[in-house]
Amino acid sequence: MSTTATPSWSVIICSIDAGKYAHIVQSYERLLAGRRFEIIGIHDARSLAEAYNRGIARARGDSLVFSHDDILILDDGFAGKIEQHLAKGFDLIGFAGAKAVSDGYWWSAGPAQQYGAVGHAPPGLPQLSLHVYGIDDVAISPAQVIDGLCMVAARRAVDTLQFDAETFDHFHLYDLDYSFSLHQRGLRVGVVHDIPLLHMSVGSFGAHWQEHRQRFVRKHAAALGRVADAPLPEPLKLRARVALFDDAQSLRRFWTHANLLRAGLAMRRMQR
Amino acid sequence: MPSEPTPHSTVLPSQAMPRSIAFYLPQFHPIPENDEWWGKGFTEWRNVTRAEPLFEGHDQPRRPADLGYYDLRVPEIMEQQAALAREAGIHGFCYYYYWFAGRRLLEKPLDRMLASGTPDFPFCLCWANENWSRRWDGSEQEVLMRQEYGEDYARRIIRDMLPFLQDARYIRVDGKPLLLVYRVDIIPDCAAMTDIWREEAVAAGLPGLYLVRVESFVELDPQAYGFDAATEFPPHLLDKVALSDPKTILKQHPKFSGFVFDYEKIAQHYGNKPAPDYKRFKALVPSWDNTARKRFNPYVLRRASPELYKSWLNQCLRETCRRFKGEERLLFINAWNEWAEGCYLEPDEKFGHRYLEATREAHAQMASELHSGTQRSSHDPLGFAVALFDDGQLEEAYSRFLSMVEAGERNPLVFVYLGLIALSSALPDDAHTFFQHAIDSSADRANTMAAIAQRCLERDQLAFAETYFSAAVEAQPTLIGGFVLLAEVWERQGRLRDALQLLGSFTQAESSMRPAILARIIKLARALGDTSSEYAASLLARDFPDSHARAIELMLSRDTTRAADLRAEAQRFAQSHGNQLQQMPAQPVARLRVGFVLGLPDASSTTLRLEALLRELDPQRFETFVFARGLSSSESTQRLFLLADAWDNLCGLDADACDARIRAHAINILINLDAYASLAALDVFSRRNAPLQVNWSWPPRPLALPCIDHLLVDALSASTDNYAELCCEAPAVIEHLPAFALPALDLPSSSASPLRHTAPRGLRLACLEAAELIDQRSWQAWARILAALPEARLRLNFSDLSATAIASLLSQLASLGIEAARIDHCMAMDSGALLEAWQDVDLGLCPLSGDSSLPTLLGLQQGVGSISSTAVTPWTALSAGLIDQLGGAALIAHQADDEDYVALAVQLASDVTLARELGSALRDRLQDSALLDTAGFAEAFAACLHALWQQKLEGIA
Repeated sequence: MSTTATPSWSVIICSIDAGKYAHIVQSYERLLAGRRFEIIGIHDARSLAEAYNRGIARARGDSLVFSHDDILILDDGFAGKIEQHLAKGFDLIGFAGAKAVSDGYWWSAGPAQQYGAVGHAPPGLPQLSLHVYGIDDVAISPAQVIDGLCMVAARRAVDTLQFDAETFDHFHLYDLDYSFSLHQRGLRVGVVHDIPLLHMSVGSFGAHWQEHRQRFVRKHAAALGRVADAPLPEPLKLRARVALFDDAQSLRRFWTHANLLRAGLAMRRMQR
Repeated sequence: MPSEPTPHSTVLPSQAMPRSIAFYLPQFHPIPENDEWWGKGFTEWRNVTRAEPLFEGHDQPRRPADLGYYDLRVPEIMEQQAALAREAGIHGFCYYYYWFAGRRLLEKPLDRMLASGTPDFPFCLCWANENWSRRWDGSEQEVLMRQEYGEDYARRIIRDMLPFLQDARYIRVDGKPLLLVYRVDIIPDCAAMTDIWREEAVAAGLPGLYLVRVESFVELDPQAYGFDAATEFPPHLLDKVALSDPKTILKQHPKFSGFVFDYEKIAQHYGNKPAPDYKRFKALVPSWDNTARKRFNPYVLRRASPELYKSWLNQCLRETCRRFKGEERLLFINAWNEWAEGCYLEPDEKFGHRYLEATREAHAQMASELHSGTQRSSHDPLGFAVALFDDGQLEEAYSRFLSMVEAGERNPLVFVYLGLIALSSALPDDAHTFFQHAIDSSADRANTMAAIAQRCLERDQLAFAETYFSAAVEAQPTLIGGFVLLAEVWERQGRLRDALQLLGSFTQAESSMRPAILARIIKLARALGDTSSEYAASLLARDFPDSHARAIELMLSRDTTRAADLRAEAQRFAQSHGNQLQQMPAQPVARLRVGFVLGLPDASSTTLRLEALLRELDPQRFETFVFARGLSSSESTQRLFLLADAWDNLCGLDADACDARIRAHAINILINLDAYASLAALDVFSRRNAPLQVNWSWPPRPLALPCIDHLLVDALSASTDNYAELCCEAPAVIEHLPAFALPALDLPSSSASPLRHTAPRGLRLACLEAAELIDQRSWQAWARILAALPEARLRLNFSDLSATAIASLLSQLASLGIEAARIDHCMAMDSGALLEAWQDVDLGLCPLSGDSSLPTLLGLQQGVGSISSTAVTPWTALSAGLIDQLGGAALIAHQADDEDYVALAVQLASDVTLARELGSALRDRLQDSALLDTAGFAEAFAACLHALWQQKLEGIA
């Protein structure tokens, strides 16, 4: 799996499901074939932040992938494209995010600020849903916060900052906090649109999430411009343009820059 | 200097003798404009001589006799023509007058006639106010000389014409010069024009004008346009579908796609036409065949003869005497010398002088009848009996009619009159019996029933009228006039609601009667206090001032939220009423909101074109909306849904609900993409939800789209011969080939391949149009192809057919000689799956009916060419057109019989290497062709929409 020479890529996966883990490992092996890479599995984490920090400690690669175990990247050009984006000076790259944030969720600043497109394969549904959140006429858009379903960090990002496992000691908000903190330290965060990706689940927004959302708001009160103990509004519903496709082929056929760009524009117009 | 001619209007042989006036084409001499457009020395004779027969018995080319291929620059010709016409009893010529915003064309013969005073023959003018187009049809397409009106045109043209109108030879009615206009329906503010004309005529010392509108395109009360009367203009305004009889045409030219009518039937049709409430002069045509101008798409009146013409002329003369008195006894003959339309009285090689003689005889007969003070001629027992009937001498008439029957006369009219006499004598059973005889002895049962009904209606026999109108429309559901009169019966019976409901079905009718229908609906709705129906009909009828004003009034009372519409309506009203309303500025919009109305948004060439547009139309200039009339969850639908700015399903909604949905989006331009422009699609358009409504479906059925402002056509469709014939109005052309959003080729193969069953590799043919859409003729052709290629297999697309349906289809194929072992299949529902299914095919086969352009195009993308045929239907020509655009002529069969297609398929399939090379070449050309240039296509489309919108704004401003 990992090579003896110093790898250029480290993939850190936190998983407690052997089946999913095997599947995602297989996927990354294919995506990184021909490159020096290592895959670091964390199976006993207390929190995602803690797991990822453990992964960072072990990782030797220049590019570090922090990946959920329930995603599927549908583009064999994944590694090459990410390398190009990193070479342009981005330090942390995600697949969905926003160029501004006002609350403890990445779409909090409204549809005009959000970026990305993600395919979903929610359990129980026979079809794949493509969610277009917003697209710029570039392959990668600068952002302040990103979603953690898959994040790729340059070595200088993790050398600058690690995940805040102390504040975010569960499975929520670690991603928002990490990306926003990097952004505040002057590092470049971005959202890519040119790599189709499937997420096999949808998020959960229960009590734990609400608690960590409060922690995020308190931690970044100065930047968010809100009084820490002010009551939080109900989270806005995530806005997206959504369509259902029968299979990954169909979804991929749609996934061109021109199509996503127009769909992203339609999404923004839809919100007016 | 010639001597002062005698004023003809005062020297009529008899005040009561009908004056027959023949339309006269002053072409037949070269002019610089025609030299430029058609080549040096062009005259209409060039068209006439090139015509060729298109079917067995087709009388082409027509060859002139006495006058030869004359040149109107030779003064003697016009004199000889006048002499021939005078001899035949024709009163005068009606010269076409060509005037384009001050510029006259073909003016020399007229000017010389005016200046020289010869020929000394009465004449009048008809302003031929149509575009000159390359198609010879006055259309907006390929315009050579546009009919523009410009500022103060009305005054300018009448002043130009005044020297003619003041000439002593000019034909007058009660002292007023008779002036015709060919198409008043396209003249802006026509009534104002006639006011100016009359004012100028009076200022020039004339007592006024007698204005006649030619009923070339629409039947409507001429007074609405400021005209005194109208004239029929056969063979225009025919119900093509009801009257043509293509099945009787034998041995056709493969490219023949015209209409063929029976002369006698057309004469009967015009004879049975109910007289309108306004003054309309009778007119007739000696024959008609415009092959010389239209090549393969002509209208032809078959079996025309001098005898039938004479009979029609007799009827016209009598009808004229019956309906008009004094100098209003006019009738028109179309035409003296329209050689390229096969419509002339001048001697030709086939009939010599017989048409002129027939004309002379008919006039002599009429003169004789009039001279003896009665029209009762023993040479015309039917006319005599009819005259007796009209005089109320029923007993005498009865015995005359009966003796005609006993003498073997089978003319249905005889039985009709016998029935009417029985009816007048309160013998209803006998009346029914006679009427039934009339119907049984008629070649045109429905029209005879309608004629009986109308005569019953005239005599207030409402029950009889209802019975026969009902029977007529049942026998011929396209007989819209029958429905209208049935509604009148019900109205007179007090059944207003029923009448309104009946007429409501015809508000979208493809008929020249539509204006009359709308007027009657408005009247009925007013009587019933049904403002909703009145409003809807007024909106549809808003080209007519009264309805227009009422529409605005009703709009105000119904809905105060429609400010934009109201403004537009008010502007139109102001324009047609001399700006009586205050002008309101038109408001340009920053981004045009364009709504596309789709049928079922499944994979088709339409959705691929639309997808290209939704993606590529400049979002800074356009917002896009899709209104789907069908529900689908296909990949195509999802793609369109993602790309459109907004999406709304109109499935199952009635017109009101559609109206609300579309208005909510404040659409500027609503575009119909629904295939065939079905009537059902009109629910979406009928309420005028958008200021500009456009049809862009192929093949277009524009007559089905009365709520459409413009027809839109792409460069590919515009280039096919069929388009012009299917299209009654000139379309706006997108100056680009249609471009399609094809799925990418470079995706890895899907694990869920659409292929369910793949036969061992051999020669593989394919038709991936859904198998349930394939017609019998294609199956038979393919059976012959497979029989000739024993090693070949045919791949079919069973799309979403059930197992039972597949079994049934296979069994049907087996009966045609296509064994199941010869078939392999895919079940492809969308473009991606279709693309994949073409992968290992050697040669494609387009079906012989239907539009298979989507699978054909995907085959080309996969490097597989398809054999197609241009000769079958316009739909099949689409696929052939695509292939042809890429230089794939070798794949196209042109002969109408299928042997050509079969032979071509067998020949190419026998040389697989050649077939594959051809396919590869087409694929390569496709990649570089405009068919994939979606950005260029969108830009051309945008330019077209902007031009239409600009035109709309200018119309409002």
